[in-house]
Amino acid sequence: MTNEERQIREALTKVAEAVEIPEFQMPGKDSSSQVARLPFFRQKKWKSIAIASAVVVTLLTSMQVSPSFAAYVQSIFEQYGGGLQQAARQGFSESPNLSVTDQGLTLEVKEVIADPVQVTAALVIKQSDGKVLNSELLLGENSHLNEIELLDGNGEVMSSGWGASFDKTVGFIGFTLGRKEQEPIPKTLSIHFKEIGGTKGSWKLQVPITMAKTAAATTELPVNQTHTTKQGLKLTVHKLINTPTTTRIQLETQWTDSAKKQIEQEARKLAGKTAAPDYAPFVPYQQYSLTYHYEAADGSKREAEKLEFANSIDRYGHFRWIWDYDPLEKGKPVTLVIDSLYRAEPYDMSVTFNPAELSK
Amino acid sequence: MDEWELIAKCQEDEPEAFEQLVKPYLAMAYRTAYLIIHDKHLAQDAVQEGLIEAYQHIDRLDPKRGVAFRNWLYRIITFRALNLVRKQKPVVEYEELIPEEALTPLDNVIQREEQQQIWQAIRSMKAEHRAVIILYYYEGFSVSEIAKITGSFEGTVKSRMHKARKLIAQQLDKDCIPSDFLREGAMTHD
Repeated sequence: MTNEERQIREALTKVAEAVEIPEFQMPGKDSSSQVARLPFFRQKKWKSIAIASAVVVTLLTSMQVSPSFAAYVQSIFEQYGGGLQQAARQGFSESPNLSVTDQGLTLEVKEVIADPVQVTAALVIKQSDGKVLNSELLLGENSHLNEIELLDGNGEVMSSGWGASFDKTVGFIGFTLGRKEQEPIPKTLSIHFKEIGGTKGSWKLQVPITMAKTAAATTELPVNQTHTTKQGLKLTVHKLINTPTTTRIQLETQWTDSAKKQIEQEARKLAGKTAAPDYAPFVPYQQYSLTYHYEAADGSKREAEKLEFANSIDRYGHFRWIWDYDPLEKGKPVTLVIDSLYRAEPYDMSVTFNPAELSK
Repeated sequence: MDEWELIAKCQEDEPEAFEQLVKPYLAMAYRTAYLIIHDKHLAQDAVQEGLIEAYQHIDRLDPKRGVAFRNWLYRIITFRALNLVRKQKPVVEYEELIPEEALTPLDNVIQREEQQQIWQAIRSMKAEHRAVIILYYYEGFSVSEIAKITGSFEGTVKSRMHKARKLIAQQLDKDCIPSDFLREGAMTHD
């Protein structure tokens, strides 16, 4: 963590802790704020009512793979850029052309790209005259109540942790895959919007996910190489995965025992000098990051990237990193170079002075 | 009693269990809402409405889905807070600097010049950027957790964080306070 990042944390903490906490009424408890709990259909029941739903689901065409150079030019993922754009250009997007209409609004799933590290669908909203509406209408006041889930082959929910990105005409919703040890292959993207642009209704779609083609185009390079830096950080690069949309680096870092002894000394120096006293002993262990770049055979380098976000295995700086970025070009060998380690070190910035001397 | 036991009791209509469940998070949730909205009354509304919503929909929580209650509650309250900001006024871009006199007494709790500039930059940026910075630096959520809380892609969260930190760095540079944000490059992924 840089000095500025520490300052951000401290500034936010100071402002936040200066505000008094008001009283809140507990729903259901205080007679003045009686609130009824709403019924909720659990997954199995939900599936059965989905089939019997009155909402019209129109399957316009069967699933197909964008087949040609001409097709990619029209891909909706052209607007998204990055790895999704590259994948679409190579014909890895599918056009399910599924749509559902309710309350005069039609929700269409225009294209889907699914590979072993992500599933992303492009959605469009149209009004009854066919006019395409701003996709941000999907992000209304109650949008967090919408149910967007990835289902496995048994119809069980394997993930509901979706993310979204909206531009004027297209909403992209997606899931990241492969972050868990044992993860089933997704088979269906289940979408149920309950509100679009303030209009309450029900827009349900079941989008089949196929990734045979992208899985075949995915390469996994087991690395399993370990290097210990002179600062005592042990890096183990587990593997690289290159999918049509992404190049993923998986590595693990931890301090050696001798480095930990050194860091323990540094941690003592930080006691009482951080905004969060309980965190002080762990700062020197955890506050580090790495940068990497790729080098081609001709010596050219891709722009350096910083690995900044890791999952903690313990509080002593043992991290697991899964880092996704735009895919490497196929057929062009490159070398992954982890070139820098940034780490926080305590620095004595104290100043000693005699106030009486200052007035002289 | 662990959190899932309390959730089960809430699902069996025991309001006392709901109070026990949310109490540990209330102060931080309110402070987070305040940092996002920068208005005490609206922050109170965001949390109060969020509590009602959480209570109404507590049946949605299922241990099999593995969603932590804290993250779920923050998702509801952050959405409420961001919606209240959007309704409150048009988005103020960072470049439109808030004049010194617009600072509230709360802003003055920050004595250090550098931190004052940082807070000024944070409160002036778009709410979406501000929320990401607050959830990351103040609440300590990870990028993937913030993505779920705000309903965004991880790449979008990283991009917003990058933009927000750049705005802070620009503010510091403007006031001739050296910043290492820009020098270090940081994230460009979106």
